[in-house]
Amino acid sequence: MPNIKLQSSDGEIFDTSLDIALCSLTIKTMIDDCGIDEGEDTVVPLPNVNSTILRKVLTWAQYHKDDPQPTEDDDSKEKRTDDISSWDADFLKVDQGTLFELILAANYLDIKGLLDVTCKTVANMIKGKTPEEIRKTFNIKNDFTPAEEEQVRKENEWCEEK
Amino acid sequence: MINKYINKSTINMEPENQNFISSLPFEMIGQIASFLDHQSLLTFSRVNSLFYSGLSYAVVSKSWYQFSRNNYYHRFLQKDLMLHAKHIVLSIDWSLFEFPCTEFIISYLIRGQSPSKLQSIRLEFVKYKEIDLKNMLMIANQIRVISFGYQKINSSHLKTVALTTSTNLGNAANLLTGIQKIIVRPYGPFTADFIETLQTLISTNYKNLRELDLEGPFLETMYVDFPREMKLQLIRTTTSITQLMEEGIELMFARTLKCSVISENPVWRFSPNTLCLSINIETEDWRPSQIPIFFPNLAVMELTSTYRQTELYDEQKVTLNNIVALKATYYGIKAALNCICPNLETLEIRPLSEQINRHFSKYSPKIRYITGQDNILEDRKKGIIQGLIINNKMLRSMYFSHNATACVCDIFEFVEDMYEFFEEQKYVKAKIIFNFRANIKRKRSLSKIISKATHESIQYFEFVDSSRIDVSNNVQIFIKFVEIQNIRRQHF
Repeated sequence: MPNIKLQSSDGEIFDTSLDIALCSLTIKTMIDDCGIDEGEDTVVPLPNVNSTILRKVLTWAQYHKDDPQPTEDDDSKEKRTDDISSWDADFLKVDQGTLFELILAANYLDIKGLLDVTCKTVANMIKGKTPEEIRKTFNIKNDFTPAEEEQVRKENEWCEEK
Repeated sequence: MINKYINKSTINMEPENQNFISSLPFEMIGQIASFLDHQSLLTFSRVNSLFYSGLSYAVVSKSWYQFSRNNYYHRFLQKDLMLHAKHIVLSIDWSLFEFPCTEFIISYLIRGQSPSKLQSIRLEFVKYKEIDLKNMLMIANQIRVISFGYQKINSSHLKTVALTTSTNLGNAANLLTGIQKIIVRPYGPFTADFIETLQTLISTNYKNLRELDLEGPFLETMYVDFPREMKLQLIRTTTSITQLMEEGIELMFARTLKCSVISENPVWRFSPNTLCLSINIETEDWRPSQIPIFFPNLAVMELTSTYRQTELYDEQKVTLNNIVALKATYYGIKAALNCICPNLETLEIRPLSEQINRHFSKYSPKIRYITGQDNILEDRKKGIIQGLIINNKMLRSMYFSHNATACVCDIFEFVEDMYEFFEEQKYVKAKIIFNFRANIKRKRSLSKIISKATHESIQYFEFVDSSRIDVSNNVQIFIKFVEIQNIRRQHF
C-alpha cells in the first residue's frame, strides 16, 4: 500500500500508509473528488487538526486499521458505552482538551469508530452523576435561575428513576 | 477487537479550567447524548440552559424502548425535554412497538412542537414495513419532511415523494393526494410492494402530477400503468420513455423534457408546447433539423451525447429562431454547431474550441452570458476566451469554472495574462467571473490572484467549494479575500 502525506494545521507533515489514512472518509473523499492521485507526491492539508491530535488519530487508526467497516446494521444496534476496549480506554486516558479535540477531529475526518468511542467516553463521564457533578466535571456554569432549575426538576420528576 | 471492559472511573474525571463540552457543535452534543440512557439524558438537560434548550439534535436511541416496557414512554413524551428541537432522530426498532405507541409518539411530536422549530423527523427503524404509515401520515400534517431512512415522505402538504426500490408505503400511499412530483431511484430490482406503491401514487395523483423524475439502472424493467390523462410538465429520465409513449401519455403540457432520444420518438408528436428540452442523443438517426418540426416553440435546449457520431448531421445548418439558451457538452457540441441560433443569449458549452468561437461569434450576435467549465489554463483556451470576449459585443458575463488539478502558478499566470488583456481591451464591459473550485493546496496563492482582481472588467471572482470537504474552518482565508474591493464571496 503506498504512502500519503498529511499536513496538520500547524504545518507538520505526516507520511503515513494510505490504508491508514483511508480510515478517514474525509480524506478518502478528498482523494476521490479532488483528483489527488495515489502515488502522487501530494500533501493533503488537514487545516482542522493540529499535529498533536493528528498524531493521536493516526495512532488510533493504525491500531484499528483491520477493524471491519461499520455497517448500517451497526447504527441500529443498541448504543452501549460499556464495550470500550482496554486499548481504547488506555488510549483515551487524556485530558479533556485532548479528548474533545479528538471528538472534533473524528467528526471532521469522518472516522466513525473514533467518534463513537470518544463520545462513549464522554457519555461515561456523564452517566451516574448529578447535574452539579456534571458541571464540576466539565467546568460548566449553571446559568439557570433557582426558579428555572426547580421548573426543570419538576418537569422531569415524574420519570426520574426512584 | 479486544473486549475487556473498562470501569468508567479510569477516565480522567478531574475538573479542568476550561469548559470544552459547551464549545462542541450541537450535533456532537447530540452524538454524545445518543449514548446516554434516559435517566442520564434527563440529568444532562438539567446541567444548564444550553443542554436543556439547545439540543437541536435530539438523538433518541433504542434505550427509549425501555420507556414503553415500563409504561413510561407516553408520560415522558408529554413532558419532553426536547421542546426546542429542530431535528429529531428516532432510532428505534419500531417493530417492537405496538402501533398505538408509534402513533402516540408521532402525534405528540407534532402537537408539542412549533412547526417553525421542528423541521424534520427522521425515523430510523429496523422493520419499518410493519408499521402502519397510514395513520402516522394522517397526523403528520405540520411537519415539512419526515424521512424514513433513505425514503422521504411528506404529509398532506407533501408535493414530492422520493422512492427507492425498497420503499413500501402500503395503504399510506392512498393518502398522499397532493403529490405533484415523483422521484424514483431504483438502484436494485423492484419488489412487488414498490411497484404497488408507485402505482398507487400515480393512480391517486395523476391529475396533479406535474413531474416525473426517473433515474436508475433498473428503470427499464419497471412497468407501471400510467393513466392517459396525465398532464406532465417535466419528465426527466435517464432511459428512453418508450413505455410512457406506448401508453399515449398526454404530454401537451410537458414544457420540459429531459430524456434520451430516438429519432422516431412518438413522444415528440405530443410535445409541441415544450419549451425546454434536454436530450441525450444516443442514436444515429437524430438530426437537429427535427427540432423545429417537433418542438416549434423550443426556447431552451441542452444537447448531450454519449455516442460518438460523425456522419449524422445535416449538410445544411438549421436555423432555430426561438432558442435563447443552449447548453452543449462534448459530442453534443457537434449537434449544437449544426444549429444557427440568431437570438441566443445564453451559451453554456464545453470543451471550448476555435470552432465554437467562430460559430457563435458569427451566428449568435446577441450572446450576453457564456459559461464554460473547462481547463481554461491552456494557451489555446486563453485565446478562445479572448476571442469570445472581443467577438461578442453584447457579452455581459463570462463564467468559468476551473477544476482543481492545475498548479497554482498556472492559475496565477492565467489571471495575470487575462488582466493584461483586459487592460488592453478598454471597451470590454463584460463582467468576468472565474469560478475556481476551492482547493486547499492553492489557497495561499489565491490571495495573490485576488490582488490582481481590481480591474473594472473583472467585477468579481467567485469561489465555490463544491467538494464535500468541510470548508467551515477555511472561512478565515476567504475573509481576507472578501475584504478586497470588488470581490464577492458566495456559496459558503
